[in-house]
Amino acid sequence: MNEQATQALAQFLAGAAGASAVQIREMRLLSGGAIQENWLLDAEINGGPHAGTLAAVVRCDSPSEVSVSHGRPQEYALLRTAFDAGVTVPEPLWLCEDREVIGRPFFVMRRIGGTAAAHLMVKDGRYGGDRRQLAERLGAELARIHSIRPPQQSLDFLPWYEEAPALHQVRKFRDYLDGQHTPHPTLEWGLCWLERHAPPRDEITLVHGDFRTGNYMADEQGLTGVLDWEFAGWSDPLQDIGWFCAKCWRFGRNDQEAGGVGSRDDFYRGYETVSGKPINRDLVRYWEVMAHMNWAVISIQQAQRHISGEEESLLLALTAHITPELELEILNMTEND
Amino acid sequence: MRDQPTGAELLAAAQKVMRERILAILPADRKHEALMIANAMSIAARQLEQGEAPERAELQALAGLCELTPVEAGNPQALHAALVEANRELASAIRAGAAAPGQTQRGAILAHLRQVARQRVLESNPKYLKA
Repeated sequence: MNEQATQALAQFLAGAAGASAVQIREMRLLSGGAIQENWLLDAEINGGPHAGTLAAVVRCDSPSEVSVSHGRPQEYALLRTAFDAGVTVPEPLWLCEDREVIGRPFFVMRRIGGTAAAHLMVKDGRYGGDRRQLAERLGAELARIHSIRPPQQSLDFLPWYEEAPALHQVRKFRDYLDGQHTPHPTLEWGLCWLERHAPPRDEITLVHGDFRTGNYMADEQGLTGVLDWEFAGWSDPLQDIGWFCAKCWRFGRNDQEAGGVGSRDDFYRGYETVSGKPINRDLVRYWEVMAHMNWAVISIQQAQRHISGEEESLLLALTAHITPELELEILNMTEND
Repeated sequence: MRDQPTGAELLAAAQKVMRERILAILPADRKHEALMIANAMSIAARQLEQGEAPERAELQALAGLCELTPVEAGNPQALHAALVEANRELASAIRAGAAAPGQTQRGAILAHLRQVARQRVLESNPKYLKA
């Protein structure tokens, strides 16, 4: 971000925070992908209700603006709704849709501490604090996300549908596979199983869509925030529970069935304490098969982004080679019925 | 005749240098990339060692399952095209219900899919099969 953009940002912040002036102390790029960029922002706010030191992150579209996930205004609305429902997320502060300020839409959120790195979270007991507490806490956070029910005016951009959520996903995956040059017979096998065993439409809630280790931050005391809301939508809440517990998201720690960091019992207890309702254990297994299917389809999509030249990346290229083990897992889970 | 060591052997040697000598001197935030490079080299080396044999076996098994006339796939492009064609055939048969419980072909299709997935995991991540 150049000097001019930084000045414009300071002015915007002063207006948004009702301050007499804002001095930007530090501004640097934390991470940038094809979709969005995160900038660290340290500022001093003079006057107004936010007076004092501001430690924040500025999240904006990347200059190339590949639009595959929710845009910044949608992401801001999701964070705001989750924050208001009591979910631990980085507090969203101000949204700016005016491209005149820094050239692209952005929002400012409070900075949280800790790490999100999954390989550290599952191997290094320092992060996330006590394992039992962490698993319970994650369950409780997820139950709070699922307390958000339709209709929500602030989330009216999320697509609505009348089908059973499981069948809705089966149809989406088939549509995607039909557009691909390469056929995937094992995924077709899995999709037939998912169609045969699909639970009927029941309660619909907001689902995070990518609630797993790697997508929340924790420090040595415990969880600091749930991140990565770009796959959020309306669905069966068991979708998130299956995704979190699926074998493919345990990062090698198969003994820790809740996200590679804790036990299912602790995770379920945390969830049920907040939701006040028992989790249907039998149906979780269905959604774990769905999780493997979903990840397999995403792995193919990510590989395509590399192959097509849209985003050249060794990480995306290697993701294609996760598909075989996901397929093997799908076969193991569906061979009997 | 090509010179020794073979491409697969070169990859194995290069990978050893990467893991044993380069990795240790990289700053912490770049080690992950070096590990990805080593992983990519391992997959490529295992595919080179296996050659075309697994894909030829897959094509032959598919021809039996889908009652296709075995095609002459002399060069790698023809082999790939024939595999895409036969797998498309199998994929649409499965979607149409050919592998549903009670169908006569269910067992044979499952055994075939498992064999093909296992073979690919042997190349992509053999450790997974031992876990």
